[in-house]
Formats: sequence, structure tokens, C-alpha cells
Amino acid sequence: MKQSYTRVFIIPILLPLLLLIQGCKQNLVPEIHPSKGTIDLLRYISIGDSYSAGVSNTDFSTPSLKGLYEEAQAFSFPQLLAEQFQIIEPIYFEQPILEGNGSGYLELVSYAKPKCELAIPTPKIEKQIPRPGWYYPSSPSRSINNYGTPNLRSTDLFNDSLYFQNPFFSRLSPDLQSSYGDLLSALNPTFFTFWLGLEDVLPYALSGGTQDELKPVSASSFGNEIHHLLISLLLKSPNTQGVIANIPDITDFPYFATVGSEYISPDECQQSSRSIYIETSSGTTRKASNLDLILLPAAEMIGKDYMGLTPEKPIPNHLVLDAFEAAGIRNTISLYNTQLDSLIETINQQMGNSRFVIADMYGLFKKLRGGYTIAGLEVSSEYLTGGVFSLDGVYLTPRGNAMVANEFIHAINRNRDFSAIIPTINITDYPGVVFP
Amino acid sequence: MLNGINSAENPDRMKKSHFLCFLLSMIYLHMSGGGFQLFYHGQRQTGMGNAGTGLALDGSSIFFNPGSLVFNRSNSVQLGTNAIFTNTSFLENPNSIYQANMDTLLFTPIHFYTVWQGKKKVQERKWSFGLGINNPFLGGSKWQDDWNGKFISQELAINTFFMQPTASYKLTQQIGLGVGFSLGFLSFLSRRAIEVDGQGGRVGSVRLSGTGNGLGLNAGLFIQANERLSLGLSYRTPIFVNLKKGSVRFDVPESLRDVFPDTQFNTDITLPGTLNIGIGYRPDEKWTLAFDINFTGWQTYDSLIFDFAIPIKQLQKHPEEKAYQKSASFRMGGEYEVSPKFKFRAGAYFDQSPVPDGFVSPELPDANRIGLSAGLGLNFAPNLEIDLSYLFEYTGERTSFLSQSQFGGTYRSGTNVYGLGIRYNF
Repeated sequence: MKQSYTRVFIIPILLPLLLLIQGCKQNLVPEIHPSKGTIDLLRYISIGDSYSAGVSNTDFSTPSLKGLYEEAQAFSFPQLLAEQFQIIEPIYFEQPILEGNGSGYLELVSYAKPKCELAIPTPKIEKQIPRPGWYYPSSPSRSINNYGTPNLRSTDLFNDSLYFQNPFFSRLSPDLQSSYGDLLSALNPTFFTFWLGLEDVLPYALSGGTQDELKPVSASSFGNEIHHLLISLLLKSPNTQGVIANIPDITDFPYFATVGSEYISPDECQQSSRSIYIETSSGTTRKASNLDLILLPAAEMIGKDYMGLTPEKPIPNHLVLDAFEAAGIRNTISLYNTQLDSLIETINQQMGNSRFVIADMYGLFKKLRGGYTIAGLEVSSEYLTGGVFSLDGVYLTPRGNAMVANEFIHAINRNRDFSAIIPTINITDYPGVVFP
Repeated sequence: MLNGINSAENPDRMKKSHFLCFLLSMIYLHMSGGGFQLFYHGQRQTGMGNAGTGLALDGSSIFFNPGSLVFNRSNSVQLGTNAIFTNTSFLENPNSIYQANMDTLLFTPIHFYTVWQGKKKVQERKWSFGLGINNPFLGGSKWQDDWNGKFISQELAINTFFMQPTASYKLTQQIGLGVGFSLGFLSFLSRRAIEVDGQGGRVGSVRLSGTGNGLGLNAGLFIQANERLSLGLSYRTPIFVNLKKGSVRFDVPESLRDVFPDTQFNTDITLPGTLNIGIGYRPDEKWTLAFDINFTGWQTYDSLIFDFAIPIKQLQKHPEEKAYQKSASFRMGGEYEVSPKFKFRAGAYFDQSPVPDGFVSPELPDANRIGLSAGLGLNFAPNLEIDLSYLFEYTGERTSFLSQSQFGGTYRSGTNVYGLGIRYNF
């Protein structure tokens, strides 16, 4: 009897074995080891326009309501990038925050479901008025890292009187004479992101191609300005490295791509789709083809009092980019991007390594036009529901910014000379258009 | 001495434990079951690695092998339950350092069996009747609402209740046949985020819930080859369950109430059939050994397609394709009678995952599993037995990308199962 009890000792042998297997519950080990490689993130500077600044929910009908405000700036892509860099290294990153309502912005207050799925949604949007005195300089004692400046064009880079022309720039500038380029190169960045060119092409497109003084400069002068900036950065800080983003095809943005060439009445649905009449750049009136782009503000006009539905009441020229104008804009963007490519290639060849790399925003936004899935989340450039573009149909939501930041990260990680591994951002953590 | 493996201060021990863990995981990965099928339907079997198709142990024959029911020694009533605790960790990849842990899940399946076969001795008996109630399919997941895979799944719960009246007939002194009708009830709940953002970072979500019924058969053959050797074969048919008029409820910002109205869904789930082969062997009076192989026809769960009464765009994108495949599990266990009042059991198994690469979803992450179990049988009174069991199931690390949702990573799970059963013979 006593002997058979000894067999019970199998228990003390078995139990530790079970505990051992439990012990395997150590954390899973990531496949990647985040590393900054050869890049020095200590002084990361963001160079660029409204997109770098974090502009969102702009009201184009009120020039001052640029949509730069605290809540949006918190999700600017340079800020999101810096947060990823901070996983690797505790770097300093400061933005010139416009507190509260900042320069004013748009907010969605209600949303009426269109009766037909194909009809354009009609959100009710309200203006949030600017915070008084928003344009006063940001506290000059603190050094800042995000020099994204709303409305900045390539021709502004070495414009000595920009201080008096752009209140967003004068907030950042320590004196009245410095140009943007001089200011930037004096900062001695160790690493920078650069995204410029959208504000070169947008204003003209937003005017429906009606304001010739807003026409984008030639590709060669665009290239020269940027070359000038990059060279002056390198002269002051020979070891600086950077990522330069190219320019998306803005005609894919919801501001230009939401209203189709046929009108679907929100009450009558598919059967009643009718041609829309437009006023072209040459002053003639004709039916819109699918190559003509009718701008987003026209959406709420069409159909009211037969607006746009008869040759007598065409959609006015300033709300239309006809096929010819749209092709011109696409052509300019592609020439600008070619300039950027050859510029970067030349500099890299001169430096003997890939000092600068291109982040392919053109490719990213082309992909978004068709829409795709990330972690079960569908993202697209669709207005309101695509999650990428804010209420203005041109600037980005936090989710859109996170995707742009990831495109920069991909560009950094792909470059062998950087040999860096920056973890990508979890897109699903960032909201698209916020509904009340 | 082996228990100190969690102490981070001792790198040597850490290394050893890593090596052992590595060895264990290599074993699982190179064997090629699973899914949301449950095998805890009797404490004696659970103590023996859930093997028992080839034995006539007690009323649990109703589930394991109706053919062996007529070889039960006496009339009995038994009731048991298991507390199943599952922990799952997740690491997103590629190029991510994101980690998440699933909320600890607790499942408490029950089983109830009653056997009535008159007062005749086993040798003289021709018929035996029984009724069983249990949860043969059970599974789910629950992640933090704001986790990275929220647009695929935040929560899933599938539960089943089966009632099975059973009759067993002894063909000869060696051969028993049995058949039971399974009346199955299934409940389903799923919740996930949808692409709608509200104020304060609140993401919208949709919750689907529904129930359905199905019918099936459980048939078995039992052969008592000689005093020592017994063989069992049982087959449980697939069960087709139609979920009708399930509810669809949205949690969305106030301004979108009209866009996302409450609606209904229909869907079908075919619970897989299983073929079970078992061997029982008694080398002497004190030892009972059991070996089982289960083949599960998981290919019936190839897709889960919802038919919504009101088509809403955000509902259509759920990954429908499941692509489950046939899988097998291998089990062995033994019982040792220490004394008439005290039995000790131990067992182990390998359970193959039915989920192919490219379809591992956070809804029901799955991989090959290995389990170790131990159990005790206590006879306090001549007619009363209390059974205790403990089982640990380890799911090897599995890295897979769910292509439909463009989401992937490495999953790992561990499950602790504590069981208690009571049986009264009369």
C-alpha cells in the first residue's frame, strides 16, 4: 500500500512542468529593433507649407480662416513623426502653437443623410471664429522645430519681405529682414522633412483657374528655389540629412473630385441623373464631361433654381476646372516632381551618398483615390467618409496626417544609407472627420 | 526549483527557460481539433487529456461514444463544469512594435449526463438510455475597445447548448451500438469598430447578436475485444444552424443615427462533424490507458456571410472568408487507481489548428495546441465520486497576416482549465 502511494510523486514532477510552460508567457519579442541608424534626430526641423503646419478644416471663402489651431496642430505630421522618433531617442520637438481656435476653422455641426446613396452628402458646417490676436509672435524665447508655414510657396523661400506678407511667418521670425530660407539654414538642422509645392499649385486651382496672378511658377524656377534652399542648408550644416516629399495630384482631392459631371437629385435618385452645364475657361458654355472638375462649393448650388441644369444657368467658371485647366495643373505637378527627383539625385551624387530621399506622396494619394484597407479600416480620398481629408476637402484629418507621416517613415526606412528602422504609426488610433 | 523561471534577476535560468520554451514551440510547429470546438465534456477524460472514445467510463459515454453507454456499470447522474481561463498576447508586424493583450477570457461550459439501464447486470443488459446536456462548441475573444485591430474585432462570443437523448444497444457481449439525437442551440455575438469618428476620440461600433437551432446525430460503436482491450468509434454529424433575424445595433455619434439605423441579419453556421477513434487498454487492475484520435470536418466553416435587412456600406467589409480546413487531434491519457477511494489521472494531447495561414484573425486567433492534464478521482462514499481536473493548453506562437483586412502579427495563447465533477451511481 505504501509503495503504491509513491507513484503519487508524479504530481510534484508534473506540476512544475506545467508551471514551466506557463513561464513561456514572457512578452513577445518584436521582430524589429527601432534604431535611428546613421541619422541624427537631435535637431529635427520641419520645413514646409500649410500641410507641414498642420492646417485642417480651412474655410476657403474667408481668407483669414486658415484652419491652424491647437487641436489640429497636435496632429500635424511633423508632430506625429517626432513622436515616433521619440520612441528611439528623447528628442526635443516644439511647435508654434496657436492656442484655442487659433486662426479659426470649420466644424461639422450636423449631417443630413442624402436620400440616395449616390447623391452628395450635405453636411452643415459652422465657422469657429479666430482667437483674437492669434497672429502675435509665438514665445520667441523657445526654439521651435516645426517651421511649417501656411500658404508658403517656393517663391517665398528667399523673399525678404515675407515677414510683412505672411502673418504665420512673422510669428516665427526673429527679425523683419530674414527670409524663410535664411532663417532655416541658421537653425543648423541635423535632420529635416521638407514638403513644399502644394501651395504653389492649390490657390490657382481653388480659384477655378480664374486668377492668373495665382498661376504656379515654371517648373525650373520651382526647382531653382528649392535647390537654393537645400544648398544653403548644406552650406551651414554639411552633415544634415532629410526627406523631401513630392507633390500629390491635387485633382484627386475631394475638393475637385466629389462633384461628378452629372447631377443626381437627392430626392429623385438614380433615374433622374442629368447633365450639368459649365462655363469653361474660354467663356463658352457646354455640358460637363467627366474630365471637367466641378469644385466642391458648387455642390450645394447645383439644382437650386435649376442652377447648372440648363445652358442658361451654367456653373460659373470660378467653380470649374475644365478639362484643359485640370490637365494643365496635373502637368505642372508632374514637372515639379520631375524637378524634385533630378534635384535630389544631383545633390546626392555630389555628396557621394543618399543624403536626401524622396517620400512618394504622389503615390500615396493616387492609392487613396482608389481606397484601400489598413488593419480592417478602409481609407480613401472620399469626401467626409474616406477619413483622410478634413471638411475643406483639401487639407488633412489626423488620420490623413498619420498616413503622410508613415510615408515619410517608409522613405526613411527604405534608404540604405540611413539604415534606420523607425516604427510606423498605428493609423487606426487617429480619427478622420469628427461627427457631432 | 524550476518555479523561479519568471525571475528576471537570474539570466541563466532565463536562458534555460527560453531554451525549453523554444524546444516546446518547435515541437508544436513541426506537427501538422482547434477552432471553437470544445473537448471538456467529462472530468475523467479531461484528467486524461480529453481521451475516452475507447472507454466506457461513465455517463459521458453519451457524448464521447454512445456505443459504450450500454457497457456503463450502473445508473448514474453526473454534473460537471470547467473554468477555462485564456490569455492571448499579440504583437503586430511587420515594422511595428505594437503589442496588445486580449482580456482574460473565462468560459464555464457545463455537462450533465444521466444514464438509466434498469437494475440488470452488465452481462444481462441489452439496452441503456441516457440524456446529455453540454456545450460542444464554445469560443470567443475580447480585446480592448481601442486596440489596433478594432476594425476587425473587439469582441466575439460563440456558444452552444446541446441536448442529446441517447439509446444504446448491446449487439453481443463484446459489441455495443448507440445513437443520440443532438438538439443544438447556438448563440452568436460580435462587436467591432466602424469607420465613424465621434467627439472625444470615440470610434463608432456595430454589434451583431443572434441565435439559432440545429439538429444532428451522434452515433457510436464500442467493442470490448477482451478483458484488457476495448475499441471505440464515434461520429457526430455536422449541424447546420440558421441564425434568423439577429439584431444589428450601432453605437455612433448622434448626428449619424439616421445613417445607421437598427437592423437585422441572417446567417448560417455549419458546426463541423467529428470522427473519433479510441482505444482503451487496461494492463492490470489498477491502470486504465486511453488513446484517441479526433478528425474534425472544419471545412464546413469556410465562410461566414451576413445578409443584412438594410444594406449599410460599413457592414459589407467584414472579412467573410474563413477557409477553415479539416483538422485532427491526438490524445492519450491514463488513470491509476491508487486505492479504491483515490484515483490519479494524467494525459497529454496535440490539437491541430484548422485555420490556414492568411486567415488567422484576431476574432478567433488559432494555432496548433498542446495540452497537459492531471486529475483526481475521489470516492467518498460507495456511490459518490468527485472528480477534479486541471489542464494547461499552450498555443505556440503563430505569425500570420489576415490578407482580407491587411492586418497581421504574432499571436500566442495559454489556457488554464480547472474542472470539477460529481457523479452519483444508483
